[in-house]
Amino acid sequence: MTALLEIENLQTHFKTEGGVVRAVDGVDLKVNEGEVLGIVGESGSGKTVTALSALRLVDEPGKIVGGSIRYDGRDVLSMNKKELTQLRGDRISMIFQQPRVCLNPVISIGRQITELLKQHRDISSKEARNTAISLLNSVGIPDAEKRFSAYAHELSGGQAQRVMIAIALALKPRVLIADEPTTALDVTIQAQIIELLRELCREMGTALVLVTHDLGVVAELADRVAVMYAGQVVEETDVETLFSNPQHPYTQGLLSSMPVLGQRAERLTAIPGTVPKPSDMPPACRFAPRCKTRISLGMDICNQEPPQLLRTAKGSVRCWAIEGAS
Amino acid sequence: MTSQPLLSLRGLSAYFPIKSGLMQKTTGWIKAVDDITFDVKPGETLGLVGESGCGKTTLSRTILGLRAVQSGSIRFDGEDLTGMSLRDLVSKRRDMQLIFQDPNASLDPKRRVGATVRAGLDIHRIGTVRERDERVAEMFARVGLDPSLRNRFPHEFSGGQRQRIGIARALIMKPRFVICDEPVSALDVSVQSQVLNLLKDLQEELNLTYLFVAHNLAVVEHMVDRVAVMYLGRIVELADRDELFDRPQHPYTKALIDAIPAATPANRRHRALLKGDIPSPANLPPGCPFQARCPSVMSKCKEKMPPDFVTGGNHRVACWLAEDT
Repeated sequence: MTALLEIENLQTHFKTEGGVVRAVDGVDLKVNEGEVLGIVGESGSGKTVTALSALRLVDEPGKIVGGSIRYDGRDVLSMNKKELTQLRGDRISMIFQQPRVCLNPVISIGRQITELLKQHRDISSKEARNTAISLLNSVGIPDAEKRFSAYAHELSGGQAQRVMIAIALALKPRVLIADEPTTALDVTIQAQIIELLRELCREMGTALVLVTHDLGVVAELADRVAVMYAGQVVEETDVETLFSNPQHPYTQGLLSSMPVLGQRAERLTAIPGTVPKPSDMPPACRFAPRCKTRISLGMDICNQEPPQLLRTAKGSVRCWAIEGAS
Repeated sequence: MTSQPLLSLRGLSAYFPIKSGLMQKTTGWIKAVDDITFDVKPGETLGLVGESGCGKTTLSRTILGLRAVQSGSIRFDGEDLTGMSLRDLVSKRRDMQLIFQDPNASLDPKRRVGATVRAGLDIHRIGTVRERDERVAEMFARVGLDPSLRNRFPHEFSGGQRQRIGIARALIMKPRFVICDEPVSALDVSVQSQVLNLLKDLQEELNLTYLFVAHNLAVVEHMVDRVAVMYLGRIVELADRDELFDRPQHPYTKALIDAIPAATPANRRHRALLKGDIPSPANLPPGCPFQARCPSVMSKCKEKMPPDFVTGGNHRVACWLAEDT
């Protein structure tokens, strides 16, 4: 497998009145052809900024200040405006958490698809219309021919997300970045959208980058997973290993704090404390103040030197406890 | 448990008028809460589960007297709250408190958090000012916050800490009954379990009765003794926790449980997906509210509303399929 999208040592910072916020601080990620990469993290972990950076969609005061992003071997950071437009939508596209906010409220959903098709492809209006209708059909919009002229406000949340997916996949991109695609949806609708993403991406051979806080969605969809904490990747491995044998104390904590259906435990295991504020980042390992492993092993190094991402048999982990053991 | 229920709803309904035209004439009703009957026993946690728009929030507000009742009765501790004067209701509400979903929206950003927590004591003039402050400090410590933080403003706290403040605000009145309206759905996973554990500890210590409103079934299963499933304003199934999760009977409950993502990749499965979206609660067709999405719909379902069938002990289900069992 060749890496389609390769992010190396990415640094995206935000200049604020209170100082520089290092939202993404040295992230390495690889997306292979046709695979599903899950990026998991809590709020403030930098997962969304990482995803936006991949398409250079980070707005002021945010800025990519270091690292490299390569798509199919080409340097994304040095692309000019025209090349970028070609890249976005055509090769890599993106869907968001709030589908209705992202759809244009004054243009019919059908025209939002045909416009995109005509801009990127040399086809007639009629062909574009037919393609759009078959796209709406394939994402499960009932009565696609009629709904072609519907507006965003006439759609339910689930339908709006389906339309977003139709727009995102209209040009058959090779990578689809989905930022919390099911978070705003109800459980029964979430299950429908997960199934739809799984089927469409498999059918078209599109790689999916799934950005989410929900480990359940990751368990359902992902092939590989990167766990982010406070702007860094702390663990990266295949999905089976992540769930059966998590290495990083943060991953272990996340998994055990998730209430699991059928377990009916009296108490949940909780990770003490909260995610650190960017202005108040721990000097070395960013998880150290909350880490049970550090306390039980009595490790001082965690507060003195930042751990590096270390290769393991099945992935990589950023933790001094693992480094010491190997 | 045969003790007298703490809260008892009988045929409770709350409708919203649909107004249209120049004269804003009422042309129809949205039955947000429709003919709801259940009891909450002292000391138990009753889970109320449903998707957005099913009426679970309207139901909690109606119980607290924050929404007008269309018909039916709400009895709290043996007294009927419907038709009670506002003054009596306000004093009654000391015993009933609400923990809100979004701690960012429910705390006054311009008020010190200590004052927010103290507000109930001020309104009901409980104790001297010094005693109130002592109670606030105690409450802060009880929910796991440093009492010295009580002169700060909400923006200085994280989401989990703000929810702790919301819990302190609700519990300072020493209520007997607390409605938790999606108390953890706005929180991060690692913080969510802290708050759930706290709610369980407080229940045990203070002998609280909870109505736990949530959409996340895994959280509900962890927290409650009994579960009521709500769909389009009606309770479609109500049973003890183990009974409901082990032997769900209503097709909607089955679909809800089936729709939960797998806990591990090894448990990925093909599921029977529910088709379509939740229909608008305005102008529903006659018969069962779930008929449009039900995989086992029969002609009877489109004609008559299914009544509550009681199957095996404490299990109640509003579905024609349960008629023969």
